[in-house]
Amino acid sequence: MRKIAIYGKGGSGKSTISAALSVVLARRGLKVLHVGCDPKADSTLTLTSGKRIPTLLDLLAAGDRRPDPSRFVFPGRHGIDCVEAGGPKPGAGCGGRGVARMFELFQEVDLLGSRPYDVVLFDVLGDVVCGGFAAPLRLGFADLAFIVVSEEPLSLYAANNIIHAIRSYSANGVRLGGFILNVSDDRGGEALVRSVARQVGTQVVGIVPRDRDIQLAERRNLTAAELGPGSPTVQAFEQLADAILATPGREAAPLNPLPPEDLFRLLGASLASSPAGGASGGSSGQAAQSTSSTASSSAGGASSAAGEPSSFAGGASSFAGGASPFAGGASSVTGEAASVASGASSVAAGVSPNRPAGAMADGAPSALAHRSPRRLPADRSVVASKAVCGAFAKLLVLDRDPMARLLFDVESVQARRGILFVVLDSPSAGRVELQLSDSPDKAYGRVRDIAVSHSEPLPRFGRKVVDYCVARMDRAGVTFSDLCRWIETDPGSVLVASREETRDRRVREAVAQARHWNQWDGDSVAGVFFFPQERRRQVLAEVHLSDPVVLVQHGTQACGVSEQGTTEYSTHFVRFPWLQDRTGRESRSGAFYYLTDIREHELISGSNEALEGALRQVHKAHPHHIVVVEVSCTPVISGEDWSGTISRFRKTHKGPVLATAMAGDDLILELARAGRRLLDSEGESVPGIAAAVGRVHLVGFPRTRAVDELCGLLERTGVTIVRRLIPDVTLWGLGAYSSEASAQLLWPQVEYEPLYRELLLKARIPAVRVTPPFGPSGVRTFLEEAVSAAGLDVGEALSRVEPELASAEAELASMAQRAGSIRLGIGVTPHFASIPESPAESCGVPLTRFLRGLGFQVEVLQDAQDRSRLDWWLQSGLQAVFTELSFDRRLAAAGVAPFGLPDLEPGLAGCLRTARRLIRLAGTRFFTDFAQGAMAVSREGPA
Amino acid sequence: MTSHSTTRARFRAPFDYPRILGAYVAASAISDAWMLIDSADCGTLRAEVIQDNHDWFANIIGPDGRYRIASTGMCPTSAILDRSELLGRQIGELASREGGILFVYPASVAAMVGVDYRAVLARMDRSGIQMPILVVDPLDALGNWVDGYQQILETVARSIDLSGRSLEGGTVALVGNLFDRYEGDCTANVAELERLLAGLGLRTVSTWLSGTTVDRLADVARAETLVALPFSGRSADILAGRTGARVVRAPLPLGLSATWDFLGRIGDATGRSALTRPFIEKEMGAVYDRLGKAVVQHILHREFLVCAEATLAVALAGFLQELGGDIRLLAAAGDSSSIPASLTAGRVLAAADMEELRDAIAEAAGDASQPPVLIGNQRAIVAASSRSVVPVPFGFQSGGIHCLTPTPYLGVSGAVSLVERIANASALEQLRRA
Repeated sequence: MRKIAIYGKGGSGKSTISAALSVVLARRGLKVLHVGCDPKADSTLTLTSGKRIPTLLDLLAAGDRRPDPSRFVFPGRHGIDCVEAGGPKPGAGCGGRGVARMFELFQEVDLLGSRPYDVVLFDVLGDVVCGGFAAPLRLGFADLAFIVVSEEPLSLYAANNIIHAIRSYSANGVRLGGFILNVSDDRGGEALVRSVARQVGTQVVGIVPRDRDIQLAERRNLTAAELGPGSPTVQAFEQLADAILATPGREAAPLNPLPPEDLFRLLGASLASSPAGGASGGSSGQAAQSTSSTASSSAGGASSAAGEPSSFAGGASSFAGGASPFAGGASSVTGEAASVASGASSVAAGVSPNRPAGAMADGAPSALAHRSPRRLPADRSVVASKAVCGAFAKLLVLDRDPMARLLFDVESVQARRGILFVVLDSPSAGRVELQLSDSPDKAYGRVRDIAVSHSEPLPRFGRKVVDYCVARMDRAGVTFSDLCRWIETDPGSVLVASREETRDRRVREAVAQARHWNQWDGDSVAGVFFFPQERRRQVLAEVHLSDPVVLVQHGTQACGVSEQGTTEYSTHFVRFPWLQDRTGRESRSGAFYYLTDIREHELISGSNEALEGALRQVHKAHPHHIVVVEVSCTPVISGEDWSGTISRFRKTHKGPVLATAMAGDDLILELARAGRRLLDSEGESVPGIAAAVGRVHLVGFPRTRAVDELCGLLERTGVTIVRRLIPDVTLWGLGAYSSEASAQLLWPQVEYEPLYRELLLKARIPAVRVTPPFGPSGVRTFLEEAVSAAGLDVGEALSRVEPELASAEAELASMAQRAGSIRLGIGVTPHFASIPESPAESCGVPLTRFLRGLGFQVEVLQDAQDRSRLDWWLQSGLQAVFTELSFDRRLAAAGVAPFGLPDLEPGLAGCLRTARRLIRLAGTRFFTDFAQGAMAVSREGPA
Repeated sequence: MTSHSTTRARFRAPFDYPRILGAYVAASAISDAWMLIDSADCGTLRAEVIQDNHDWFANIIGPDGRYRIASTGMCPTSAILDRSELLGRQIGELASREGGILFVYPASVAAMVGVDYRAVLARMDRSGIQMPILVVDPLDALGNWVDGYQQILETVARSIDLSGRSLEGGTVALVGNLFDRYEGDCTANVAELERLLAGLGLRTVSTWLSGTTVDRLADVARAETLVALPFSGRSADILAGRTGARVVRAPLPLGLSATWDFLGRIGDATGRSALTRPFIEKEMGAVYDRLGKAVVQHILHREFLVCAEATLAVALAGFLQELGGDIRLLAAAGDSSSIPASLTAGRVLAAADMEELRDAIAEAAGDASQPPVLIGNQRAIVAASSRSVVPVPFGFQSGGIHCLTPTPYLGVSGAVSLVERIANASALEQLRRA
């Protein structure tokens, strides 16, 4: 695969030349990908007959963070695949960042690896003005760069500048193939260009002659390579393509960009000696007009040629929105249908532009088809009755998609004999509509909003199968408690949804990006008692890399704030205890924590040198240590080639190098893969079957007293626990892992899945995902699984601990009566709805099952985000409510005691302590008295 | 002989806190202020350095969704886009809540993409906006947390509505009080300073900052005299330029001499010199016998390692020295230009990094005949780790000590309280060693 980047001064003809080259190469049977790296998104216009294709940025803006290639790679003419990066509107955002993001996406979806392109051609905006626009030069992308120049001094000056960038990136293997001279002045100047090329260490690989027909071709949405076989321009492109393909991809002579003063001296000397004797720089402009200049004038639909109807599709709106990028617009391509300039065409008679090979002819839609909304007949309203408590028990939670639309499965609704939606809304909100999908997989209907007249009685909730019922309440005058009196609680499921959640979708998008507590729309987070996933990892699911480590944080001082000694704050959830506890360690051996501390000027000039400097120091001081590099958002957004820097560092550093950008779960994955690479390179020991019988590894089991007791219990069955891996992880010394035991027992915890998947499930011993050992029955099942995995006789093994099991069960039974009078609460919002029943999502604790197994009454409040409902629930006499916060002021204010995961212990002794603890908690007067006192103070004022 | 180190090696973690944290502290200290950080959501995470860690009574973030410090949640993807409209809505949402002021604070990453916040404000729908909105200059990558704190003070000083108020005789305002948490130390500091000024016959109409509302801050316009404390930056001058008040520069009243100096300067400036001495002598006299045993047994000749923000560290070291303590190490984070010549210390570190600090503490602890008292912030306490020191948490950030009761460290009462804290720690250590 040849990967070629085309650079050059703005207006030099890059897009025209690169589009023509793509056509020439495609006609030779090569599979070509043409990538426009310009926020103007006009590079592919002549390849798509003037139709602007949706850009990657369009998809990102629409909320698709990792679009499938089918959504941004579009077939153009001649079978050329086309991609446009897009970018912000002029004067806003960061265009370079947009280009950089595109390349990141290419890597994420492995676009170039997964498709058999012969040539990838990147048409890049103007000068390399920032890290983003140099993204094509990053590792894994362009291996050859060409610069389009003309004889004009400023064009050569720009080329000289670009060579600086190319030279900087030469360590990535990219080299400069040469200059492509786009002749603007027939009076000469080729010699000057060749002279400059020689001086800077390159050559002129091709010359595109000045040809007015190129403009005409572009007006007809054709490339310069489609002027006709006899055209000298076409021949020039053929020769250029030959030269490009012949250019070796290996290291050539070193580049030598000239200092500006030397360049200008060279240019001045050349001008003085020019036979034209004058400024050739004032020529009348490029022959090969850049597509950008015509496209920009046509973007709004107006043609660049006065009096001619536009041959370009009007603006971005042709493809705006919708599942299909071609929805709403005529999608067939008709080259000749485009308007032609009134001037004589130089297209050879009888030659017509190629018709597209079915490209975009059918504009086939993807995803779901939208039908016109169906409205229910007026008589399908719902009558309701029943007590509030029953209503709560039946509440269902539906999925919401990123657009905050409720999704439901029609079949599951039918199984429940129907569903009632009640939306609290204001009268002015307008009608709401229900849409069903007829997509083949019968996936989802989308309930945007629902409406029922307030004046109609809610009809009885029928027992026959219904797809749905709809209801809308005029919020004025209808309180939630009133509504609850109206809800039928007999068969069927009830959902109560607040329309206000769907109100401001765009603010919701900002919220969706926030990984922390929802900080917007306070009402909707009033009932959130669980940490969002990122925080769960940080606080509840740490992984400790026990090996000696050097940590490099690439960011500003603010990024480096990570306090030891705090438990709820961390910028990453892989911790490094070795780093944090260096008592007795010889500190004069060098630092183990590096902060690049990006300075103010480096925000503009670039911070990669700082990273390189830090890594050099690290390598010098600790050449064998594991190095963890955390890159903050600052260098990512500025388009720095930090990944190239780290890749090069990896090649020289002797220890594993883990790198992550923007923290997050990448580090876990890096850790797992690093472990796997080490194992693969060292060779994992073959399991010795006989020696391993009765021996297991425990993976992911928390480091707590209760688990230690459980381990003791397990060992009394005859099983030997060899290793306890995760949360403590070590990269070194895993070689013997598979030979030491007959099985590995995995604790159910979703946050550890990357480590399981990438490292441990690839080990040579079986992995058993154990039942969470909570409560006597859970412990019993766990023991059976563990003993069986260890290859021992289950009956015999369990008989050894049967007295302990029986004793615990008996003691629990004695507490059951007291426990049975205690009401514990778990509040969930839709996002967290599955957690109470899903141990893997709750650090292995089967919340409701465990607590009910201990004899407690457990009430799960669904849709706790409804403030009025939450307040009612908290005041309803619950003795304690689950919360993951260390101090939950909502509960304190309501006079309800809190309990959390640390209070819920596994094992036999653990479950007895849990039961006693919760019984004691329920009787603690501090919270009720505190709340009463606080409420009295708030009413009367401080004494 | 005092040895000085004044440079920090590149790539070392600084013994300091970033500027943005100071902005958070200041925003938190204005009880009806809101702040929108234009940054990734780490902007919110970082608020937890204060919320429930340093300050158990803060309310800048919380599960009820009322985030007084919220972040825009900018990410590398959204950075590409034109976020003007979204920013406008986010600003609008915060500004429509009940409050006194909204700060828009661009983190360096946001500044990099060049958002024109003022244009965003100009274009946004102002209906429903309840409070003034101030855009803070994006200087995030410069300076330290004290600079951030001062920047907020200065931003408010320039823009706060002072209308409807005029200078009143016999009044003062304290400008530049460091109010880093709502716990008993900072609240008691405010009470103590107001008490002392009342002893001079002066009424304190406003304290910048003190956990009060913007409206109370605006009462600074009633103050005849502005007392500019070391953390005021230029805010006192800015306010004086607007109100016509006189400005008195006063030292941080930490320790007995410093408090004397503080009151003396204010007394002189306000024509109350005659009152100052008798009042101070009476105050000092009342505490002398309470301090006696504690000073003699636990401070006199005792070795101290003082590691904190520069102004606090210098003031504290000065106080300990005047009680007869021996300063073995003074690690001053931030602007250390104010270290006076009279302050002698075995070693002085300015702009130190954590490696240097660890080394210095290890060296000082290793040489001492009995464990020195390390009085410093959380970073210093953790840097000392299990070295043989007697840790006494002090300053920002202090997650290891919390004040549920009035526990000042400024003024006369503060001097006693500090001595109490040190003496208790020292006494406990002796008990354990016995």
